[in-house]
This record gives sequence, C-alpha cells and structure tokens, in this order.
Amino acid sequence: MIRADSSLIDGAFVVCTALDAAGITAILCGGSAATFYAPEAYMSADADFVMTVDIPLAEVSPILARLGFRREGRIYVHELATEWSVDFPPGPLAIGRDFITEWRTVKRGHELLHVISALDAVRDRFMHYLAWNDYSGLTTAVSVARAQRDSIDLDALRAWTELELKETPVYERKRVEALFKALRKQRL
Amino acid sequence: MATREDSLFGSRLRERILKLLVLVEPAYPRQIATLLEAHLISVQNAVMALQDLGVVASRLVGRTRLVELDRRWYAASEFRALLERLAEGDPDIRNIAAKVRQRPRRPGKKI
Repeated sequence: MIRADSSLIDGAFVVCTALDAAGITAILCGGSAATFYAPEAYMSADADFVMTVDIPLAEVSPILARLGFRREGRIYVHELATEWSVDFPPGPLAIGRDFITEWRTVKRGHELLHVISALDAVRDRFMHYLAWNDYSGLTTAVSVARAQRDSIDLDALRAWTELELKETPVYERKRVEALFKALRKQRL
Repeated sequence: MATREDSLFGSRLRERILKLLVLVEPAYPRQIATLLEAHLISVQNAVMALQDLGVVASRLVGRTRLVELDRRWYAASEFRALLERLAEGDPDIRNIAAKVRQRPRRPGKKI
C-alpha cells in the first residue's frame, strides 16, 4: 500500500509487485535505479520501468489504478504520494548499444523489485555525461559506484566504454578518462 | 494506398524534423518550425512524441531548449545512417539545412 510518506523506492516495490502478479515483468532503471543504489546521493522524481514485453499502457493503467495512480499523459501520479511519479519509457532495456538481458530481483517481505544491476546503473548515469556532457551524470555514476563498490566490475566498465567510443566516434575519450579518474579517487 | 502525408515515421512532419535534425543539430523548436514552415505547436508535439519514443532528446541550455537525435538510443548510429540516406534523397530538406548558419558571425563582418 502506498501512503503519503512512501518513498519512490517504496512505491517502486509496490508497483513492481502488482505488475509481476499480473504477469508483467517491469525493470526499474534510469535515475530511479541510481536512487535505489545510492539514495543519499541521488533522488529521482520518476520511477522508470521498462517492460520486457511491450504492453500497451491501456493494459497497465487498471493495475496501477487499483494502487491509487491516475494517468497523466505518459506518467502515473499517485493520489497521496505526490513527490514522485511512475513512467514507462519504451523498451527494449538498453544502455547505449548494450541490450540488458539480466537484472536483479530484490525481495522485501512479500514484495519484489526487478532492478538493473549496480554496474548498469553506473553505466546508465555515465551515458548522460558521455553523450551530453551532463556533469551530474558523472557525479551520480561515481556515487553509485562508491555506494556499491563490491558490485562494480571495473574491467567490464572499461570494456563497455571502449565499445561505445568505437561505435559512436563523436563521444570524447576524455570523458571516459574523467570517469575512471573519479573512480580512482574513490579508491575503486 | 499511401498518400503524400503518410510516412515511415508516423507523420510527414516527424519525418521532416528527423531528416532536418540529422543535418542540423542541435536545433530549437522555433527554429525547426520556421525552417519547415510548420506551426510551433505541431513541431513541439512531434518532438515530444519522438522524445517519448527515445529517438530524440532535448536539453536546456540557458533558456533555450535544444533538440537533437538521442545518441544514447540503442539503435542511434543505425538510425542516423538511415536518416542521412533519407535526407540525401530529399533536396528540399538539404536546401533548408544549407541555409542554416551554425557558426557565429564575426562582429562587423560584411554580409
């Protein structure tokens, strides 16, 4: 049940559990996944879910309506918890050119949450810096890596950045180096 | 039967916006509307729809909202190649893009 003081992550558990019960797998991603892994460092205003199968929102709406959400355009807002909303960006689940086919399923009591891995949350936030020079993307990526240091495979991260640089020549290598320099500062 | 207003991308305006963006990006909605001689609200709605699909991104720079093809999209490079090819076959869009001066003009330079 979602209350006025429910956090975005509390709400994400409720939504994901309800969708799962209806046979819909929706994975938390984007900035909300960064909030899941580093809540003290980054607070998203949207719980972004990408569904594994492209289901029309008309089929999702009744499920969310039973939880107290109403649809406003493409997002869902709750009647009580007004600090955050729920969004369903179009799939497939991908970070840069990389399709995401594995994710974590976190259990909390009778609730569950499908969420991209911590490494994928780092990659996702870093893409904002790599593509648009959005510095907050870099700082959030580093914050998630610091908070989840045991889950971050730096070799895999380096291999992925090399692939993105190769496939998208307009990306600047200095931004990748800025990421790894910041990670080294965090002793990662 | 398909009509002239039909498009691979859902509408002719969306298609023209995408082909323009691949030649001239970033661009701002009012600029796109002026170049394509379209209503601003129609351009804004088309951009929003393309943004919802993940193929276009917009960001605020100062007080201006700039629109560009989203490089983060999983098929961005293939999509860009397709649009470049489609733009090659559209002399009207190429002429429009050629008129856009992206570089700042040196103060005092003769026109």
